[in-house]
Amino acid sequence: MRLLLIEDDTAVAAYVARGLTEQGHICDVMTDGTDGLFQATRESYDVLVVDRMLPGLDGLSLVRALRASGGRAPVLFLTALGGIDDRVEGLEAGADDYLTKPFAFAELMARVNALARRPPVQDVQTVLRVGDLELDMLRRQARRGGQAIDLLPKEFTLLEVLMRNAGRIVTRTMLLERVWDFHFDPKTSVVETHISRLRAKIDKPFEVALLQTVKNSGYMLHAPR
Amino acid sequence: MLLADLTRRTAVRLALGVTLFVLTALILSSAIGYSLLRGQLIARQDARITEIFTALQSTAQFGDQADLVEAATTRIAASIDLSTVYLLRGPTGAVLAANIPDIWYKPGWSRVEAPILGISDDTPYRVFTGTSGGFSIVVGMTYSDLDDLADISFAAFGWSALGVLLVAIGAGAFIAIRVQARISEVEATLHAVGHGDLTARLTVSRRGSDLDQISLAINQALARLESLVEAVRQVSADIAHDLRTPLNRLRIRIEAAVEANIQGTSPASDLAEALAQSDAIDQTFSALLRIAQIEAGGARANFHPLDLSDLIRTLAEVYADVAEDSGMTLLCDASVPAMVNGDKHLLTQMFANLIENAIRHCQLGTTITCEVRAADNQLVASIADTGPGIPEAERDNVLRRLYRLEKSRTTEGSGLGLALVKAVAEAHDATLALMDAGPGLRVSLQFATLPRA
Repeated sequence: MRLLLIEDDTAVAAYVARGLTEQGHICDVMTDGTDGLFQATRESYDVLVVDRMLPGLDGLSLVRALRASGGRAPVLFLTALGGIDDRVEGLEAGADDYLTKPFAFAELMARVNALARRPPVQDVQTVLRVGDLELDMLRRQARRGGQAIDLLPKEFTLLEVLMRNAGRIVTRTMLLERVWDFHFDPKTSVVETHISRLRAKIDKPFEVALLQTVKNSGYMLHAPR
Repeated sequence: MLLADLTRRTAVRLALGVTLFVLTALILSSAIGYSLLRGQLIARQDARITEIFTALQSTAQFGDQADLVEAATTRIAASIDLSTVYLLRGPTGAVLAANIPDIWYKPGWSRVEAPILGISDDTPYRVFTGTSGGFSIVVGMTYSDLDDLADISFAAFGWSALGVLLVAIGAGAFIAIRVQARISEVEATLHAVGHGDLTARLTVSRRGSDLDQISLAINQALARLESLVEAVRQVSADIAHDLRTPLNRLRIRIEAAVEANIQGTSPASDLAEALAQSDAIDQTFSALLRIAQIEAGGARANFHPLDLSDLIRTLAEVYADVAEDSGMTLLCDASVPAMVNGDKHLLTQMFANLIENAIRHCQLGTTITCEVRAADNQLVASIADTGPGIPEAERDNVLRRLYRLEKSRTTEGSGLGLALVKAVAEAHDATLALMDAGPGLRVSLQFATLPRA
C-alpha cells in the first residue's frame, strides 16, 4: 500500500518509513505542512500519517484543508498531545484515528492497517464471518459450526471489533478504546481477562483456535488456510 | 510634575469635580435668591412711592394750595438725608416746594441718576411724576436699599462659598487620601505579585464596600494563581526527582546492552528491559501531564449530565472478571438514579483507578464493593475493600503525586493513581474521603446531585 508520512522530526520519520518499507509498503515522507498538503492532494495515497505539530501548516489545518478540497484518504494523527480534548479536536477536524507519541511501531502498523482496509463508510454487512465463526449483527447472535454461543454484551462488541479486523492485528489500546471506551492505560489485565473469557467461549470447545495472541502487539482473529 | 501626577489620580479628580459641582450649585442658588429678593424690594419701594404720591394727591384734590405746600414742606424737612425727594409745581408751573432742581421730569415712572437731582451719590433714584388738580407732583426714592441688598448678598455668597469650598476640599482630600491608600495598596500588591511574591494579599475591611469586593476578588484570583503555580512547581520537582531515577535505570540497561554487544554476548534481554523501562517512564509522564491538565480546569468544557450508577455498574461489569481472576470478589450495588454533571472519560478513569488499586494492593479472598447511595441532594459513590487499608496518618500523603507507601514500593505502580483521583474529584467539586472500612479501605466521593430541570 502507498502511504504519505508528514512528520518534521526526521529521526521519527526515518524510523517509521524504514519500518513501513520493510513491510513492503511504499512510503513518501514530507517534513513540512504546506508541502505535505500539496503532495497529499497531488497524488493518491491509501493512508496519510500526519504529525500534529508541523512547520508551515499545522496538522489540524492540513487535515481540514485536505477534507475541504475533497481528499478522502484516511488520516492517522501522530501527536505528543495526548489529552482527550486534543484527540476529539483531531477527529473533528477530519482525522480517522489518533496515536500518541511515543508509540510502538506495532501499534502504528496495526492502526494503519485497520484504516487502510476499513470497509467503505456504509457498511451493510449484517453477518460477519471468519472461518466457521459467524456473528449476526441484527439478531446479536454468535454461532460457530452451527452451534450457538452465548455472549455477554461486551463480549459481543469485543468479538465484533476483532471480526471486522479479521486477518490483521488489533492492539490492546485499540480494544480498550473501541470496546470499553477507556482512554487510559489500565494497570490490571482488563483486556487479557476478557480475551481469555471470549476464548473460552469461541475457541476452547472447538478444535481450531481462531483468536491468536501476537506477542508484544495485540490480538488477531483469522481462519487457518 | 507633582500636580500632573495628582490630577491623574481618580480620587483627586473626583474630589475636584465634586467641589466644582457644589460651587456651581451655590452660585446658581445665590443668583436666584438675589433676583427674587431684588424683585420684592423694588415692588415694595414702588408701593411706598405710590403711597406718598397718593397722600399728596388727595391733599391737592380736597385741600387748598397752602395745605398742599405745607404737607410737601413737612415731608421735605423729614428727608434730611435726601433719601426721598419731592418737587411740587403749581398750576402756573412755578415750583412751590422742592428738594431737587427744577427740571423737566418724565411723567409716570422713571429712573434718574443722582447728580441730575443735584445729589452727589452713585445710586440712582426711582421717580414718579404725576398731576392732580393742576398741580404737578414728583416723588422719588433712592435705590440705596437695593445696593445694600447686593452688598449683603455678595458678602453672604462669598462667605458661604468659602465655607463650602473648604468643606468640599477637606472632604475630597479625606476621601481621596483613603481611596488613594487602597489603590496604592492594590498597586503595590500587584507589583509584588508581578515580581514573584504570590503570597501577597490585599486587606479587606469588614464594611464590604465596592473596593472590598474588588480586593476580595483579587485575593481569590491570587489564591488560585498561587495554588496553580505551587502545583506546577510541585510537578517540576516531582519530575526532576522521580523521573531521573527510572531514567538512570534505563541508562544502566542501555550501557549493559552496549557492553554485551562489545563482549559478543546477546544484548536482547537488556534491550527488552530498557524498552519496558522507557514505557514505564512514558506512563509516568502521561499520568503527570494528565493530572496537570485536569488541575488546570479545562475539563469543565466536556461536562455533561450522566448517571453515576450506570457508570459504576458498567465498570463493575468490566472488572468483575478481572477481580475473579485475581481470586477476589467484586460486588456492585448501584441501582439508585444518580444524575451528576461530569466528564464521562475522567470519571471512568477515576473509578477504574480506585477499583484497580483495590485489585492490585489487596490479597486473595478480598471483597471489593462498589456502591452508589443517594441522600438529600447528595450522591455518595464509594469503592470499599476488605484489604489491609491505609493507616490514618498516611491517608493525606497517599493523595500526593508520586507518593507511595513503603510496603507498596516493591509492587508495580507510578504513585499517581490517587493523585489523579483527587484531581478528577476536585474538577467535579466532589468531596473525596479515605476511610476505614473495618477492615480495609473505603474511598468515598460525594457529589452534588444535578438539579432537576
